[in-house]
Amino acid sequence: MGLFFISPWLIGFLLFTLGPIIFSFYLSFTDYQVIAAPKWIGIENYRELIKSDPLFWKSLYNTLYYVAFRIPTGILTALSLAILLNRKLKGVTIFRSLFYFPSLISGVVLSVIWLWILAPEFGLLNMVLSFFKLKGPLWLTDPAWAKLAFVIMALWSVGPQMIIFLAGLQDIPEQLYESAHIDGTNWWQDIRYITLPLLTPSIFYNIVVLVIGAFQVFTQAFIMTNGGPVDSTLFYVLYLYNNGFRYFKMGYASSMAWILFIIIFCLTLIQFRFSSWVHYER
Amino acid sequence: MKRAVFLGISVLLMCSILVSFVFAKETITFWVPATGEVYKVYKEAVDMFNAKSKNFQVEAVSIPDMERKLLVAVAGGAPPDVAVHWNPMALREWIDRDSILPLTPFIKEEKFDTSKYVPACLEQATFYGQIWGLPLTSSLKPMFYWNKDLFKEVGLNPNLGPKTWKDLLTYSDKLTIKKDGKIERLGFTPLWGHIANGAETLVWFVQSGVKPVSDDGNKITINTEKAVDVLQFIADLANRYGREAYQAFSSQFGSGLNDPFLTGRLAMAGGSTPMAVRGVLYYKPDFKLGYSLMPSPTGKELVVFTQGSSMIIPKGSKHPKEAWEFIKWYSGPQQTHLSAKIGYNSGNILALRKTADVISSKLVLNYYKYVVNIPQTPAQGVFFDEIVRARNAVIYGQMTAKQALDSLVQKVQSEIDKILASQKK
Repeated sequence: MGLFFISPWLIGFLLFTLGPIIFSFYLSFTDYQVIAAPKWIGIENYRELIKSDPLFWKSLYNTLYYVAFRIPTGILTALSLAILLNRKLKGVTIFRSLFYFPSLISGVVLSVIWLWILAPEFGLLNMVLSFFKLKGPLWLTDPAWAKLAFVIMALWSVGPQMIIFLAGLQDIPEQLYESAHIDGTNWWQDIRYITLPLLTPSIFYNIVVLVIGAFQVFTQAFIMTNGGPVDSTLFYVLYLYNNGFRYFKMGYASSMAWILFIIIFCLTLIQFRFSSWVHYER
Repeated sequence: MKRAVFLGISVLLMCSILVSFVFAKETITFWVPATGEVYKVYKEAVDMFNAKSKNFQVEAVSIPDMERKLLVAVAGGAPPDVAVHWNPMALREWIDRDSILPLTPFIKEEKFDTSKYVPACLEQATFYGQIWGLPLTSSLKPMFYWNKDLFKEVGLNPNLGPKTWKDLLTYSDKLTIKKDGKIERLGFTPLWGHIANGAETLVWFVQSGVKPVSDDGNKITINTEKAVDVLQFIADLANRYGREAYQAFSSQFGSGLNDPFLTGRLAMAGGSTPMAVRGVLYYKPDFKLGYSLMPSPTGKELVVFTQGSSMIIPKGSKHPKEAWEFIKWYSGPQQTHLSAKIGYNSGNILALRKTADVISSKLVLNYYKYVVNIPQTPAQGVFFDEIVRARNAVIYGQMTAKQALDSLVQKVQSEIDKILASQKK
């Protein structure tokens, strides 16, 4: 009877999620030029990717670089904002909404806004830097800075992580802080000895989810730079997209997708394996 | 009594449904690669056809992401009956994968006269002895445009554009204003406008007598000594006023009201024939536009490409005969609305003559005899992306021109060989 009730979801899941996943696994072993039937070629796609495709490695490097910067900056920003917004001040809910709001803006609109902010001459970012007597780089047109421009852009969507942290913060009992203050702790000691340890489950969750998301960076690169300049923002999923939809190499693209899945899966396993720093409250 | 009424009504309903099926005109689907205002113009012509069509109606569907959607639709076996193929420079990739129906059987059967189409456009849709699409639009690119007012300002004859590559450099230097290391106005750049696309970049090479691909399109031959010189010329031209200065300057470039050419920040540009209408007419009707073919090494090499769209019948179309009827009409001599309203100059010479007062049509009529069609390779997507990659690598100093072209040939040739091998079986 239970099965009957969940059957609509089950059918949808099988047809639109699990089915295509299995089919893409099959496609990754074929030469599938989209408008012709797939031809089985075994592990040829994987071999070609790893052995003779420099752009595969370049796009992987670009993505790893991005992830390496995205995670610490993303977590720190979300955490700091959550701690700041965890006060019982008047109007704090308005600020929470305001900080959450940018994450709701769609990718295309975001791209247009950020093209303006990141403009080398008159963009907002470089103007702000010039107030501190710093000459901002060319951002999206400079191969050395383009990926970091994307890391900065991604901070815009700090909302969801911030909410998770806020929820975690509100779970921490007030008495702990009160008894600590009796012993004379300052705000930094509060954070270091009470907040952070008790927040570790939320931090862990956010890191895991952020890693999974960051590896799939695509939309802004597709719209704003198309992988440029000189492939410095050719992220993994963008290269995958080009192969599948511009070069008629859908089998090849499917192999790329499965390699990405394995990478993210292994990373997630590693994170769980080394998660003893997380304190779960009993 | 109630039962009788209910029965009567349902019988009536069923009869009317059956009648509507019997007398309803067949409807075929037509995919249009446009949205909004441009889509409305396409649809106007479709309405004209529907008004006079006796046997079937055409439903025009707006498809913004045509490249992806048509691919998936044909692969999934549910394509439209007729569609506009927007990228004739890559038609071979579709034909090789057996996803378009040839029109030659229809043409032969009706002894249809194809002489009134712009020859170069028809040639672009001809492969393996068959015609695969009828030209709908005939955009020429790259055309060379200049701002006559800016020419006057620096003392150049506004009616005489640069003819040779040397002239191009001289004119550009005169028109460029650079203060404190910052560019305030730029004469010319090969990195903006249609000339910056992978496909159109080949114009520089063809002008110099380089043969980018073999006649059958299966061999890439673009790494000759001459080609290396050309690539170096393009990169030097791009970096002429300082690479970083250009990047800072070009970050303001946009489209529409931010178009650098229309706003006078870029004095000369390589664009397409529709650009003259949709850019100038829309945003700056008082713009004084100078035009010619692209400057060439000695001024005598007159080369331009065409990249209009053509009307095709996808494989799996459920109404190929009706699709053909519609294609004949829509690409015929009365195809004037797209030109007049949005500058998409027709691929039909008779229609072009009717709209000769529209500048984009005038340009095509003047210059279509100079069109050169480069043979198509089976891997156009990869080829054009690699051209841009090679050019950028040289501009950013990551590779020499020779290394960049050798790498391009190696990569694209191996892709072509793979595709040819897979299609042999």
